[in-house]
Amino acid sequence: MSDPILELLDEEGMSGDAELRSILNAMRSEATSIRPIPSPAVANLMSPRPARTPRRALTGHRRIVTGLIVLGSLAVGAGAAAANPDVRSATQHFAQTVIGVLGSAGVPSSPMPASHRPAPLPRPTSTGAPSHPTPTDHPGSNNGQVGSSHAPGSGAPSSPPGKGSPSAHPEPSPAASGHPHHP
Amino acid sequence: MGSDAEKSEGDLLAERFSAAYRRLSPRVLGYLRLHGVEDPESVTQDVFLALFARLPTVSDDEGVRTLTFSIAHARIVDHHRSRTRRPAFVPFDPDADPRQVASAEDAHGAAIGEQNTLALLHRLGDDQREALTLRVVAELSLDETAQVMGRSVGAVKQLQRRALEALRAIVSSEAAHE
Repeated sequence: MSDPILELLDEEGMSGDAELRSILNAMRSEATSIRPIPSPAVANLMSPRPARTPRRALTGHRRIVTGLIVLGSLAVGAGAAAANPDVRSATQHFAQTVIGVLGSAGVPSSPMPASHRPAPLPRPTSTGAPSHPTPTDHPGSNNGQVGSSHAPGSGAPSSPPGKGSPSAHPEPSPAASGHPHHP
Repeated sequence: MGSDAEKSEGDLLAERFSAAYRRLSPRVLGYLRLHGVEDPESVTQDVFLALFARLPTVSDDEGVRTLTFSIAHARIVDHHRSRTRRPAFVPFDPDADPRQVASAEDAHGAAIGEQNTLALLHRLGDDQREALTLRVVAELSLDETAQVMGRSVGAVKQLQRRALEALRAIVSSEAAHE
């Protein structure tokens, strides 16, 4: 690469001017004599970036070790619980409770109280008695036992009309019949 | 695999930046000093911080050099614009200060005439000084100088010719005066 000062002087036809050339050389040497020290920010950019591959390998090993520790802790806790008779009896009691609750929920019965259930629509019969007396119409009846003693549609109510719950009574409402139920 | 590529790319960028700093930072500092920038060392660091962000956009050394002095030129323009909005500071004149005596460095500098060379530049116009320093101190070509200054090649060629002629006339007049 040629000297930029010589190139400049050649471009302007002054390559023979030794005094001008020495002045430009002195100017360049003086202007570039100081080498600035890089600031911390610049020096940070000049340093190579840290490698990332070993860090990823450590991260993968850390995951495996953490998983093994969690599994070991769970195994130790389960073994200790199985060795304790109190825990075993409590577990059995809890299982029986759950089975009992699920078993009672499987029986066809209404979860609603009898007083909150809507009254069945009256079916016109010759005797005027309700054709479908429900077991819950009888106060104090047991849901699980009444259904077996009276078959539905037999026409034999378990209680005479007028003695059951007012809401479950098959007769029309007092306002419709003109007879007040509660004088 | 991707991490290796990132690592080598980052290392390559750091190496290019280090090489550019070693090669160009004295010239950038001198270029800023010749244009009267206050705190030229700090501005030099700013120039290279700006260069790092744009370094991947250039591939060869000439492109890096042109980009570096384009950033430095923009800093000089910003400096002069901001200085017009502030009150001008009067530079310290050691000759007017009776408390000082000439040091050995000053005596040596006066002996070899180095102080006069930079003082000669300040007698030129701003554009002439800009063209001459970009050619001599930054060692840019004619095309690169035109690119940095945002002017045509012909305009820069005319500026550098006038600068050299003015410099020659100043030296001749001083020699005749002595």
